Amino acid sequence: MSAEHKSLPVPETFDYKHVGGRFVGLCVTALIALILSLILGLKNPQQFAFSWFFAGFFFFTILIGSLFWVVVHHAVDAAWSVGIRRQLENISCLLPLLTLLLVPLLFVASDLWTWMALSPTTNHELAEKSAYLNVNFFWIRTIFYFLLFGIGAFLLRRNSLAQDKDGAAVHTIRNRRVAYFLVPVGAVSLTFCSIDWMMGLNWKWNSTIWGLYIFAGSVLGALCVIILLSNALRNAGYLKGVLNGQHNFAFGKLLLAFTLFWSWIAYVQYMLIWYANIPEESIYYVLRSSSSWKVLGIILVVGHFLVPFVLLLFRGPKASAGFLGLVAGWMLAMHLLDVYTMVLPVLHPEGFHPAVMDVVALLAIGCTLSAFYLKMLGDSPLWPSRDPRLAEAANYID
Amino acid sequence: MVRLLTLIILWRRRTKMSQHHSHSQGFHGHHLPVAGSKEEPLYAIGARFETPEALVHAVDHLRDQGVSLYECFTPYPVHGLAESMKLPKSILSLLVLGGGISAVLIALSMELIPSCIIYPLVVDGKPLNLSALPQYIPIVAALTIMIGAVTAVVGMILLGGMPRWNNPMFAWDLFAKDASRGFFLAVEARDRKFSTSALTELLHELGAGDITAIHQEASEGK
Repeated sequence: MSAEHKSLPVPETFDYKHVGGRFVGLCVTALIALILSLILGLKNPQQFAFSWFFAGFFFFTILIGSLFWVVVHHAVDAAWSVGIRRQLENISCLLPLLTLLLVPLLFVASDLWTWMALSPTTNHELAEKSAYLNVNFFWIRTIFYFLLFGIGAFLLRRNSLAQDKDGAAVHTIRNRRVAYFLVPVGAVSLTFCSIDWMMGLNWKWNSTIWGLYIFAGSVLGALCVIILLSNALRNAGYLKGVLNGQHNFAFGKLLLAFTLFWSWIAYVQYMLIWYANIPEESIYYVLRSSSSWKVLGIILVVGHFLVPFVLLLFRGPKASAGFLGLVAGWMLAMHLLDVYTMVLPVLHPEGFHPAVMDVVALLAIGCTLSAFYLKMLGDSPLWPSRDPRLAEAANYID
Repeated sequence: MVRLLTLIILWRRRTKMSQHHSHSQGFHGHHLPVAGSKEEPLYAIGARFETPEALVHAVDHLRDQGVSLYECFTPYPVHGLAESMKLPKSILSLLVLGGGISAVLIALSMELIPSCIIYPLVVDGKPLNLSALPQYIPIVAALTIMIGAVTAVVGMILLGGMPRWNNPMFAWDLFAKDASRGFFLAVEARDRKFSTSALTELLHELGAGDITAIHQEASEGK
């Protein structure tokens, strides 16, 4: 019964025979999409700015959500998630690459963040905010966010890999320290970076719960990705020793919990702004509930809350990895729509305006990240093979 | 609901215990220690296991022998015990769902009937129809959580057979005083397969200690 009596699962390393030609396909798609973005971007820099930012931020939320799951794993000394931790570490370590992919935004920054083109000397409203909202400080903060999250993710993965070699518990202790540091500092930084990048799209608008809203979506998005990923790996015959049916219940419960968390934060933000009815605050929802944007908002309410809430409420289906994969895929699509309705209405206030650039940007950033992720997948064992809590994780009972 | 005895909420009649304590020890019939009053009918054979694994193992064996009327008493929920006992899924989750749905209906009717039908009053320029739904949701959510939680707690207690005045198990001194120091099993005398000698032997083989014949306590009048 108890975990100590069972032998440790034998470490597995990913064999690229499962990927085959798809890796090349991924690289080619990424390359074509990157070139296409360049061409389309030169033609219509404004659309490029918003589409690229939309895609970049979507993947940023997933990477930062994965980092959150690693941090929370170490901070609370969790056992159940040891089996999936290596993949979360791999995903969060894509942050430096994402930073690189977001560099083109430097050239179109003033299209995206319109306040950058304004002068505080002539604009009184901006002058009031200029102590915080000035170009230099903005870029210093941006560099700080990427450094903080990037170094944090790197350290957590490096210690974890070191433990694979010598099995020393000291690496777990070190990671715990990194996690303790990142919980408060990362929480504040994520709040400010969502304010800077996302709220800054309309610099006159503000919402005090914004950071939490972005956080809720990020954690949910990362959870969906890890569910889909562990399903894919289990289908390829891996992770059988560390992920059992009981882990599916854990996934299902967390998915339900964070669906509710996101819904509640989204609702509270909407309700307070709607009820107070202050023009500078309600502009966000006025824009998104007028013309065809309204349809997307209703789809979000139904698809991001009602449907998964009802589906995940019952315990029985949550035992099935296939069912969870379906719901996770659906939620990931809804998260994408959520980010879409944050960004694109600013560019097209007249209504829903799908652009080729949106898809190309998603493909360019997504395929590049996936290709590098696949490279990392085979570099190390699929789970922390000498983690002190591995046996406990493998015999986890929900 | 696993009827693991929620030891904290058990109601005990201590006075009764002390009255019959004097003649509750000793050997009887099959050389088993006896708890309770010998004049009263036999209630169950009780046994104590040192580890949760031993208890789960014993339950597996008892089920194989066709024993069905038995109860486990553990100081904390033991993983795998409910599966070994083959307990059916509890209806508690359905009760909570029912509680939640009725809470939504109660909250909405409490809000919408007065403020939209009986005494329509425009406050802060907000509409009186369902397009103002956001302002009604906090009450709905809070009441759903409250009634759901109360249903869960009260339902757990009621489905667990609580409250009750006494449990014949309390006639067994070891259990009554030390219930948290072991993993207890009681096979009731009403069981079709009940046989004191066979059960004693089987429980002994399964590694049980303190096997005891538990009689009910003498009632007040005697």
